[in-house]
Amino acid sequence: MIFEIAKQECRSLLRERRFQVAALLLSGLFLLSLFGAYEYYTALKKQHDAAATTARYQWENQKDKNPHSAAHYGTYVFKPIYPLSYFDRGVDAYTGNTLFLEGHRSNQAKYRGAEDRSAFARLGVLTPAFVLSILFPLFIIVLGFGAMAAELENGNLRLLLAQGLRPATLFWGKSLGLWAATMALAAPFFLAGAGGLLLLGADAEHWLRYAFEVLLYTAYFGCFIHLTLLFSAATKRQNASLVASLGVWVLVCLIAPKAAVNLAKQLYPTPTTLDYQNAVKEDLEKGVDGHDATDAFTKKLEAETLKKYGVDSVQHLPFNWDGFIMQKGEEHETLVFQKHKQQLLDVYAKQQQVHRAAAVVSPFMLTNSLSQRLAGTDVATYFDFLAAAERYRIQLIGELNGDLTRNFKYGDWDGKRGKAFFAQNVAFEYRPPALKSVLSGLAASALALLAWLLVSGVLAVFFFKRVKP
Amino acid sequence: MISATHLTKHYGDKVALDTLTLDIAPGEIFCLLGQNGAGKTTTINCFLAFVQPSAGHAFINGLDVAKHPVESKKYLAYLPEVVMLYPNLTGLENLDYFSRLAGYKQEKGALLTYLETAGLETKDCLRRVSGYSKGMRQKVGIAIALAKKAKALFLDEPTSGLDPKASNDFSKLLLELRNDGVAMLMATHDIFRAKDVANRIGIMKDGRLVNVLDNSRNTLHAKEIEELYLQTI
Repeated sequence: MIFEIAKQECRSLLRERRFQVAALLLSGLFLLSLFGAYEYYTALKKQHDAAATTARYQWENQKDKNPHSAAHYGTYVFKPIYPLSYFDRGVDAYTGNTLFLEGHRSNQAKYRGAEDRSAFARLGVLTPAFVLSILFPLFIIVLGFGAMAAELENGNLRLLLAQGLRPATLFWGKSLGLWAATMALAAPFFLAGAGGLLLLGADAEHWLRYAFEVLLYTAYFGCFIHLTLLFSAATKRQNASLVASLGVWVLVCLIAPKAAVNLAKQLYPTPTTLDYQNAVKEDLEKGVDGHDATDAFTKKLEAETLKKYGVDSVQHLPFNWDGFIMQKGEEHETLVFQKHKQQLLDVYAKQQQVHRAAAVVSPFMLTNSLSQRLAGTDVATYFDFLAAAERYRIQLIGELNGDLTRNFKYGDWDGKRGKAFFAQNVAFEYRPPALKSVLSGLAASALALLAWLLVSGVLAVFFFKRVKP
Repeated sequence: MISATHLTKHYGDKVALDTLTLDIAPGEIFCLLGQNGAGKTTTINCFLAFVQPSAGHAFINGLDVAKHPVESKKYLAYLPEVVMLYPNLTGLENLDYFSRLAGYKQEKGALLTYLETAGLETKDCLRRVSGYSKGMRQKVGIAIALAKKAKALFLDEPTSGLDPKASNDFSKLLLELRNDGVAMLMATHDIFRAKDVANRIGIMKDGRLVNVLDNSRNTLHAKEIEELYLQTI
């Protein structure tokens, strides 16, 4: 019986002008977004791959120089571009693409995608994820707002119930029919998205991620289908139903995300760049500076080291004092940067917690965060990349200072290393968190989304049963 | 087949239906006359379990409809005053859908026969309902009721929107159904139609069934009924 109703509902919708018009519009927008995002990302990926190769080439082929000078020379790492980022851009456009790694300091990532784009692009509109998460719900509302209200208003409901139909059966049939009509439009899009992955040569893990994305959006559509049917039955009138559903759409998709971000910032304010830099500077001054022999902390360390080795001047130490003090300075600097970055990360983490908790009120926010996480374009994956880059920096600078300490005579600033040495330096390799490790973190949000699906469905059945023909 | 005992419905202080007791046997047509708001539709709503009675019981084939709202529907068919249907489907598809909801999957030929019996031309059956007149939609409604092969039939001003010829054909159809043993309760304003088909005619006022006229031998005249009707209301 449910299938009969679903079939009828779907058939009736497919023949309707508003479905045809909306489908045409949405298809156009979606294909445009898919094409645009694909173009953008293949170009960006090419750029990044080329830049990463060049950066390594430049490192290996830098002029012969002292290893610590090489630490100052520095190198670049680039944020990796994942196949699915073309599907859901996430925070990609707002996070820096390029990180300059050098001795003594831990830099911020630079060159955000949004910086060199027009204001329109900065809105982040028209990615496939945007079409699926913002525009599809509108489409569902337009199709479904009359599902129960129209039957009631035109009297078909009396005829339906007189045929012996149960209201709950009517709900499940309508829900399934609306789902089928929505998927009739979404399925080609999902296939087109898969086509993009095929062209990008995605690996098995990314196909699996994509499969989860498809499941995710299907469940998300279900939430809006249930909500639309719920309001159609609760308001009993088509115009009221349309207004109520659109109101919820505005709340859930537009207002809630903005409100959550503001709330998080209010509760856990991010320090300004100036405050951050001042705090770092203050702490840096409280320790060894490898480049300043008159620095009090350097003097103290020097006296201690001389005493420990029982010699009267740094020339007589069994290792290169300059390399040693550079590494000691580096270690102090690293600790300072780590401390302040950690403080910043803690603030971000708390903001994220607020955001995650607030997301429970909005299936849109739940879906958004899940989708970004699956695509690898979320804030957490970005921070994971930054942390890996910092670990790499520490390792590389440590290699350079270590070489200076062990293999160079004190005062030998003219001693140089060439290509043979630099080519052996550790190279940056970053692998984003594997899907397996990501999935467990997604369970809470996924369950919350399922709860939305379930609760909205149960409520809708309740209101369907309450309608008196 | 259709019976009510002390069936009563209050809406707040207002009495919509006042202790109606009624029994309609198989093969009998009972016509309800009365002004708008006299309680005709409330009566039908009680039998369809769309309205929960304040007191008393409504029975279809011996089943108390308030206790068996879904099961009792197996034995009844309903033809409302306005049949809207699904405008994007053809008449045939509409009939097919409503029959399936009632639990019958029927051959296309059988469905077309019902539509033909109801008076819809075959070429119209395959057109979308959005292009139908009110009368044509009404005929699909009749076919839906026929296809259910119900033992009890409820008709709420079924001939409104039908032209005189169609209305006359409809009367003949009702008499055929009566001969097949269907019990019918028809609310109507059409005194002439009532006189033609009814075994009994009831006149309602303010929720009460005030008069019941016997017409089992078709001996009543429209004029008499009209006079009594005007006196009653």
